[in-house]
Amino acid sequence: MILAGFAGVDKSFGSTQALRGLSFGVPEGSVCGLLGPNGSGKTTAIRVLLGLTRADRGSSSLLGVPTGGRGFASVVRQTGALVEGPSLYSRATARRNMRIQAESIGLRRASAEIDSLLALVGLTERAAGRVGGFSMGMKQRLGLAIALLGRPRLVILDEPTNGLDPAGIVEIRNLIARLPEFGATVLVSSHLLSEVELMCDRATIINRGSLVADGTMGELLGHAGLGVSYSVAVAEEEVGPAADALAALGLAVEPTGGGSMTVSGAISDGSQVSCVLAAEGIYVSALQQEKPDLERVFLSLTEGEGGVGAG
Amino acid sequence: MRAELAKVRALPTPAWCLAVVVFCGLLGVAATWQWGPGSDLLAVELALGFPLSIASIVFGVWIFGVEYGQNTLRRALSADPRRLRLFISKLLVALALIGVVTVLLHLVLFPFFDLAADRHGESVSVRDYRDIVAAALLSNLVYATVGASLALITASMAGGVTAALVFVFIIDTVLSVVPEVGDFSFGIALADVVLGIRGTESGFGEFDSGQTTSQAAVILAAWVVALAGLGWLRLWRSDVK
Repeated sequence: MILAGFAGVDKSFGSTQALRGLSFGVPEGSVCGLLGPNGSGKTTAIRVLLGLTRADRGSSSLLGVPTGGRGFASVVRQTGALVEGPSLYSRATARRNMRIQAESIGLRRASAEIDSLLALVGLTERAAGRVGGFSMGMKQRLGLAIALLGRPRLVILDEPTNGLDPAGIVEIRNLIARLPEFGATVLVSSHLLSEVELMCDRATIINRGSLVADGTMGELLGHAGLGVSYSVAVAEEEVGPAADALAALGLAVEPTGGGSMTVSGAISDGSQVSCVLAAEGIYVSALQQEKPDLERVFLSLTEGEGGVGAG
Repeated sequence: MRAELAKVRALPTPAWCLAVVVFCGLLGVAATWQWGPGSDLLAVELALGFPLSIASIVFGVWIFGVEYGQNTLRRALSADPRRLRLFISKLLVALALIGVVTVLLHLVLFPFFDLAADRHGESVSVRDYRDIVAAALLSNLVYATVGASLALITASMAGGVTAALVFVFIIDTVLSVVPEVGDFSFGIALADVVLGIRGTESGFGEFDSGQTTSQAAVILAAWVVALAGLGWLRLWRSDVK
């Protein structure tokens, strides 16, 4: 089942078109990353999904119910959201903030759940502290705890690691990756690609409001058209002849400093590179296959005008 | 509704509003003790009526403005996207609390005002006091609605407070002295209704419009509905940041 879906959504703010025919879905049980450069429309898409902003054209749905349609209020209560940073009452305590949210979604006698969520995000000792005195990281963690109130089926997190230190990022990443264990499907937007790669099992890439690619991590990394590349090290004075020999085979060669270079293109395996160079009397001192990472995939897809869906 | 009450309990502005009106009421009792109640229970009017009016405007603005000021409207609507429900529940909570505080505070302080007036050989008439409470109740509910509406229209806490005070004390005052038009101003209509409740024929000198109470009530209702309607439209139509 698709828990969050977009079908041809357009949205403009004045003369700026934020979303252009955006279509994709988040399958139940997945941790889906929503990726895009700043201003690509990630937050607008989430706001449209939650009914905070109306789409000009097209439709979106939450837990199978069209946004704004009959029964939408009920499915929103089964959705936890952290949109554009934690939205907190700064003069109230952490526990009071959670209590307000519990009342808003109709949760009665939520004390035990509030305590366990505060413990989950490591804020038990600061539960009685006013949120105004919290660091950004603590606010993000509290925002996440609030989003998890009521055991939502779908958790939507917009840049949840913003403002966190490295330890906090790891903590939140691990927490998000564990959410499916609690029965939650996750849609998380981020521009931290390494984070998304580590915590998500699928990703949707958008650029200038349009879908660029959508699929599982394997599909995106394997079918992004980047091919295989190798990091090759030779003696520094032999970089030039080595590059010429490899380029003669139609491979792309990019010197990376010292005696190293990156070679990419139609390469069957690493021995092909070493054979070619050995035939020229050049001996390879190190050879390592480089797998395409999400960052390379993302950059290749978002530089220029994007491409097609991978999945 | 429970979420709104939880916010009232958790956040400081409502408590500060209450503390200030209680303090002013006690100051009024002290003034009555010292100098007497004044004509037409002026001490009660100044010490309770006026601060409660200001507090009603501020609380009315706050009930919506807090969401803009704290950037929490998206959170409220992410929990329950029904904007009409949010509008109604916030307005009802504001009006209910202001109504309760207005009546309770007057009731609690009545014996103290009476005791203080007695020191000067005067007494506070129960009937006059009841009329003052009724008039204060109506005007405070109206002020709270105006404040809430202007918070929505400006989509801002500070903007709402400023717009409400400017509207009530400046724009409307200027409007009220414009010949012909002035009779239809918010302030004149409210004054006429208040005077009607208190059974006083005239109390505002040159600002008295000569409208009947029911005519004034219609004009006042039109103002309240128009402002609240504009506020609702703004909430309903706008994209939530």
